[in-house]
Amino acid sequence: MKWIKFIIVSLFCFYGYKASACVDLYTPATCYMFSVYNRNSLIGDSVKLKHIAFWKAYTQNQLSDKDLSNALYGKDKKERQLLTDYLSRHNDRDAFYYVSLLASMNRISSDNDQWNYPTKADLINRKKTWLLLLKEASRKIDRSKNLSSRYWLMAVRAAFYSGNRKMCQQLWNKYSRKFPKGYIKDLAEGYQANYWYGDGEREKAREFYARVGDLRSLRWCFRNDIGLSGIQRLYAEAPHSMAFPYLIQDYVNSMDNDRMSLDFEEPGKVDSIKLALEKEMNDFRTFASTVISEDKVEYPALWKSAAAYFAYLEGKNKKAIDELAEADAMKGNERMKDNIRAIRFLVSSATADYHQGYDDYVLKELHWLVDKVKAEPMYADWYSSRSHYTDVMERIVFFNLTPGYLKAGRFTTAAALTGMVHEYIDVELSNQKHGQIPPGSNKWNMAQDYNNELFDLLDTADVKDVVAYAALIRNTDKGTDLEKYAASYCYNSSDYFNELIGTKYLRLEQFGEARTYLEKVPLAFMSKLNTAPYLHREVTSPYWFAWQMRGKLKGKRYVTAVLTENPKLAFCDEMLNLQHDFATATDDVKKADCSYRIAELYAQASLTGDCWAYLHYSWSAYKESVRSHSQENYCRKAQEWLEKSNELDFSDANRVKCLFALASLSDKPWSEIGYDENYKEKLIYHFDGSQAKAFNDLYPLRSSPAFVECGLKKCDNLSNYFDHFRDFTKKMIF
Amino acid sequence: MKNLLFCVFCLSLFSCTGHYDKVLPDPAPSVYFWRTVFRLDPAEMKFLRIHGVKKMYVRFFDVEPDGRQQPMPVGTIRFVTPVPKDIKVIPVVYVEHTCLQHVADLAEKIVKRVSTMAETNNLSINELQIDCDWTISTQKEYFDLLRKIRTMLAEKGTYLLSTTIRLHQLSAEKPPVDYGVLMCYNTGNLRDYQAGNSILSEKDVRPYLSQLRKYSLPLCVAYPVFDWKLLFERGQFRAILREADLSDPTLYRRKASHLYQVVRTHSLASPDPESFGLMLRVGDEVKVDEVTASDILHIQSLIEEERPEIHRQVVIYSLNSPDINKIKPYEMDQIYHR
Repeated sequence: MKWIKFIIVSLFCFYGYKASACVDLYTPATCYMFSVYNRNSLIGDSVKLKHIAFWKAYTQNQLSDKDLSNALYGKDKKERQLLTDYLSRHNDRDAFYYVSLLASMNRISSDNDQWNYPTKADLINRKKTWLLLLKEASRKIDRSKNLSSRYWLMAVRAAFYSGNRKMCQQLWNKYSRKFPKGYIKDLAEGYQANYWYGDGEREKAREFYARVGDLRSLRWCFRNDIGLSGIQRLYAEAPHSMAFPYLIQDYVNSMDNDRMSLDFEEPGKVDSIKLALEKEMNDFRTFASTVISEDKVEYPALWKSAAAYFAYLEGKNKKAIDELAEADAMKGNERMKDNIRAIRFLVSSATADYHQGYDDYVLKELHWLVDKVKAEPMYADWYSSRSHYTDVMERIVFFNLTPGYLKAGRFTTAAALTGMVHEYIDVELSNQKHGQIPPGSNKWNMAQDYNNELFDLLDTADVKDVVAYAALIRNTDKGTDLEKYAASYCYNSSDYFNELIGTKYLRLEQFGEARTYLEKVPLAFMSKLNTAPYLHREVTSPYWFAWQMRGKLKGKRYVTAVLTENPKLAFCDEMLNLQHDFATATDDVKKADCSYRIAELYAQASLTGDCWAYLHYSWSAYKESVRSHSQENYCRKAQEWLEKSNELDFSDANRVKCLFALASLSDKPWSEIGYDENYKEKLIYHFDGSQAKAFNDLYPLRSSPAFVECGLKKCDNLSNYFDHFRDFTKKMIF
Repeated sequence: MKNLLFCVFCLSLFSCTGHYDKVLPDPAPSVYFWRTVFRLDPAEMKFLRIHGVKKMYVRFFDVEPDGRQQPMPVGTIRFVTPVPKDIKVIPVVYVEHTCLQHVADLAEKIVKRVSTMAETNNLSINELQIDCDWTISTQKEYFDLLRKIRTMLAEKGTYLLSTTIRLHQLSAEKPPVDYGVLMCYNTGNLRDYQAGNSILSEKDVRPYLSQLRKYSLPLCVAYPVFDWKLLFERGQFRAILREADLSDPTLYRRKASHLYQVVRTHSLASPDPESFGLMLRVGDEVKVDEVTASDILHIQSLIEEERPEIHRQVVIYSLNSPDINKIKPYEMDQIYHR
């Protein structure tokens, strides 16, 4: 019964792998589903860029960004020369004076030499300079025509750094209403926020940091409030706190990620962690319920939707849907309502039965998500260009909709949705092009078209499903409304699909069908495949004698030239011809020869052979993952044909070749290096393995002319085996 | 003749202890201060008072390589409250051993900076300590640095120069300084998940005891009162945790007496405003190493067998409220040999 359990567990693991293998464990799609504030809007232009932009406009684009940067942030006269010259030419004394004060400020604000430590005299000088800046900048606030707010900011800053808190606050109180909203005012207010926080007006400071999007300062403010106990403490202190959307969003997403990461954890560790997670989620749900009933918080929808999300994480999907409906009826801002809608889509997709009626809902929500994607600015990260709503799309489609539709037997719908999300997010929105290697990536196997969620799905699917999918996206009239909509976004290159389908038939050894697709693929397309440089290798050179032909084969290992023929198509033709020859041959010797040549082709095109690129789009030292991914048995087929050849022709010449070939294809070498209990190297022998058997059978033939002609006397591995065998038999005799 | 021999014997005894006194004037209960903000709370002030602490070895800054591999001062201390008047401050500078490749002007920079810091913060100093985990391969450069520092200090007046001595350095040549502080802490490998107590362990100290007797540099000794929580991810060391409330069951589960498992991914706040903190993930483990008074007293007894005079001055690492309060006052007096 153990083998049944093993198979079930393996299938489960494989399914789990397929369901969630599409994305990494810690991508934004897995980490940021719950969104009541746009975390990406906090990544904006720095203050420095805003300063430069202001002065660029002030100087009517006469100075470059670099010149302005040097002028505004440098310390000596030379660095601000261009700017001061401009201001002099335009007789702008006010700005000229401002820039000179700025230079004084820069001189005392930062020191390039870290080894310098201020002496007492330096400290006195700094204070004097700050006080001078305070005096002069304050004087100019009301007099400056164009730079009033900047003088004000300088004065506030000088007051702060000279320890003149009273003056700093007076400047704020006097002028803050005079100046419009903007980054200058925000910078000035930042100094007040520092005082507020220190004085215990923590909520006032948090409100400020939340408003300006200073996430770093905000997180520092509530650094002790992370987690449920922190949220509870904050609620007790300030039920209306501006920090709750940030706190709760971070909290919910971290719980979500922990819950998801359990799927990747070792089984032994899962239970205790899962129990702790569930207990905490329940504790939060209870607390949220109390908070809502006390009616003190501004947005009860925030709390209810967080509680509903935890219900979903606990697998209580119906409860989650009900609570989301309740949350939707409560007070919340627009983003909170959008968040509820996105979560509802996520939860429903986890449990839907994927009938036609559900398609209508999916279609409607996808339209909505695409509109949201278009409305929100994108940002670039390590993965691609993205936004919160692209993350939502990926999460819902890759983790729920695709597996759901697959389970319901609707491959084309699943593939169309996957294709849509991949094409829209990773290609269109990221300004990528098909057939191109993304900049900075490894040239080998990282071409976009063969390393994405859609490709993973198609590469492992039944070929008939892929044919149906290709037919759908070429003629969307045949699909459902949902499929039509999704397919309208999908990549629909006929060359891509012909090549892919042809390769899939090739793996299944259906050479005729493979041919009908491959012959339609132009050489220009073949030459742009990510594996194209590996397609120049010789498939007819026997894999097991490659060691004798290194010189000849060396130049063809990696060739970046354009292909002059389609090697996969040529392979099909060769196989078909040989199969025909085998079928029509009347004598065993000819049949044996055909068998041997067929075996050569199978071996070379297998994962072990030189021409692995005929059947695969990537290669890994960990061959098992690629082999299972790509459903081919070429190595085993080669062995079968070799055995057939061996049986048909008993001549020494044939037997030597076949046995040596079988030995080379064996997955169990006769000896290998292992380690003893003290981690010292030792040889491990497999005398019962297929290689040992083949070598054994070769032993009596070691003196035959065929053995010499094949050059087997130069094979060290074989010689070592013979030596060992000789010693062994000698010992046996004695 | 017998009287003469007796006199010679007494004189030699006297010269041994007298030599020690000459090198280490006023050996006294001492502490290390290793924080970046000099501010003493009432508990720390009380500690200094009741144990008669007269010397404070204060870390002024570290020297580490920057992005261009140039030695730079980092973590410079900020004096917020004044040092108690009756306590002598001895600046300590930790030098990362990779900086020893740039000795040329490093000595000058260190001495100049320490002097400026002392002057700006109204500290009167006549001693400097250098801390470095040097090995045989960096010994030459380190000793060169010490010699240069010593020369520069001599130009300023009468200065003592000391260095920290780690247990493994007892087998090496003695550095060109006036005395050393034997670091009897961090004796094990904190990165080793399987190791016992990495702060102080007899198993780690014992192999070096025989070298202690032969080591000719005058020594005093420093003992730890801190504990630490070591974060491991799948058996690999990741970080020392400064703030982690292991009693929080929503975050940690106790697996063994000194081992906890993280049950919720969370961040630990960092005092560094540039940092969002350290992320602890579900499944990570926290190993707690701690030291008791009896652990210290036991090690002291072993060391004393080899080097009786070493405890004329004991330095506690380090002055920090949570740590010093773990040890009872009478136990601390025993450690201080009062």
